[in-house]
Parts: sequence; C-alpha cells; structure tokens
Amino acid sequence: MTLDATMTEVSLDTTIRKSVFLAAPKARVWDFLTKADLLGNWFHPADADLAEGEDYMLRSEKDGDRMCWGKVEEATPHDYMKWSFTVGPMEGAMTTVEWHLHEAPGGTRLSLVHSGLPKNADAFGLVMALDKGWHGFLSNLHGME
Amino acid sequence: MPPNLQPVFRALGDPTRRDILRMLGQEPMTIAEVSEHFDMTRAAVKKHLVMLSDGGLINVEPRGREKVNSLNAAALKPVFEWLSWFDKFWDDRLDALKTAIEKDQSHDTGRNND
Repeated sequence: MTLDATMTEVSLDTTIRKSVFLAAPKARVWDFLTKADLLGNWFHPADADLAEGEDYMLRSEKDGDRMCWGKVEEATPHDYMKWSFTVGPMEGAMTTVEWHLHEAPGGTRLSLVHSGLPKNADAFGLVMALDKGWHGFLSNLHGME
Repeated sequence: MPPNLQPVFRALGDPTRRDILRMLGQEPMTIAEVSEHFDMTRAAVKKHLVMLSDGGLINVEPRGREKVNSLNAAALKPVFEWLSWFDKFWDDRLDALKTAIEKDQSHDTGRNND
C-alpha cells in the first residue's frame, strides 16, 4: 500500500496539547473545572455547575457577555471530561476540548487537548465577510509577514 | 509572560463591534460618524469603541476637539491564526488555573495550621 494523498491531508495536525502540574489533589482540580464559582477564579464564572449531558455557558464577570460555551459531552469525575467548545468570534463553530487528570507526586497533572480547529480562519466564518471589507485587512496582514 | 488575549477576544465576541471594526477598516471615523450607522445612542457606541480599544483593535487619535478611531490591523493577525491564538489562550488560562489552585491550597494549609 502506498500512502495516499488524502491520508496525508487528514493527518495534518491542528490539535493543541497542553499539560500543567498542579499542587492539588485530583478532586480539587476537578472542582476548579466544574464548579461555577471556581471556574470564575481562573476562566470565567459559569451559569451553573458543569454536569454531563448539560450545556454550559461561561460569561464575563464584568458585564455578563457570553465568552465560551458548549456542552459537557462526557464527565468521569476526577479523571476525564469532554466539552464541545466555542468562543464568540467563532460564529458558533464547535471544537472539542478534553481534560485529562492524572495523579502525580504531590499533586495532579492536568492535560488539555483542543481539537477540531480548522487549518485557517476561513472555516470559522470570521472572514465570512470578505465581501464586507475584510479583504483590506487580510492584505494588510499578509504585508506584515 | 504570554500576552493577555482576553481583551481582543472580548472585543471580537460581539457582532456590533465586528461591524464597527469593518467600517473602520474602510476609513477612520469619529464617534459621531460611527453613531450615524447604528440605531443606538452615542454612549452605547462609545462603550463599544472603548472595548475595541482595550483589545488593541483600534487606534484613537485626537483631531481638534474630536477623536478619530482607526483600525489597527496588526492586532487582528493572531486572530486569523487560530492555532497560535488558542495556543496562547490556553497558556493564559492554565497559568491562571495554576495560580488560583496554589492560592487555594496555601489558604487550606493556613487553615489547617490554625
């Protein structure tokens, strides 16, 4: 079998992976990921505690503007959580955010995987308005490279 | 320290502000000129312009007694590069989480020692 061009294209990786060590037990880290008020300490306050199968909404503390939202697609307490995820400028295009919690000496290793991001902005429709004048910006942007 | 992307994120999160930005991309305008295009008070337009300015998306320069708003296209560059945008976005958030948890844990420790 030869490697086909389609497969090469599919394997182009647009996934973001992050990992951070946190000096707290998994249960406490889980609280920071799911409790409405604790989410406000590092992200944005949620309308309600996050629960599997439920939609979530994170709002600006300042004026209540919608900041990030989606659905909690899976939640296995203290180990794993999967969100559909979007932000305002994405015009409703959904991506996937997964959280993995691993026990580590003295705390927790928290890993984030953000997938489903297109290769460029086109698919998000932020540039949808090329006909409304964005092309001017884009040529400016190309000029800066 | 990664740059804080929250202001640009907030600025772009609203359709009216994106419309204003598009208009300023065509030509610089005063608040009064921007207001003519929208069915809202000048104060409301001003609030949107302040948020665009907070996000670094527009430059505001005095012209006589007025202020002229113009697009700062450079601030849009990371926005068009979604991967690097989210890369920094999550760096910011995870840094904030680490700080919040450390504060929380030291608070707990303090309480236990009482």
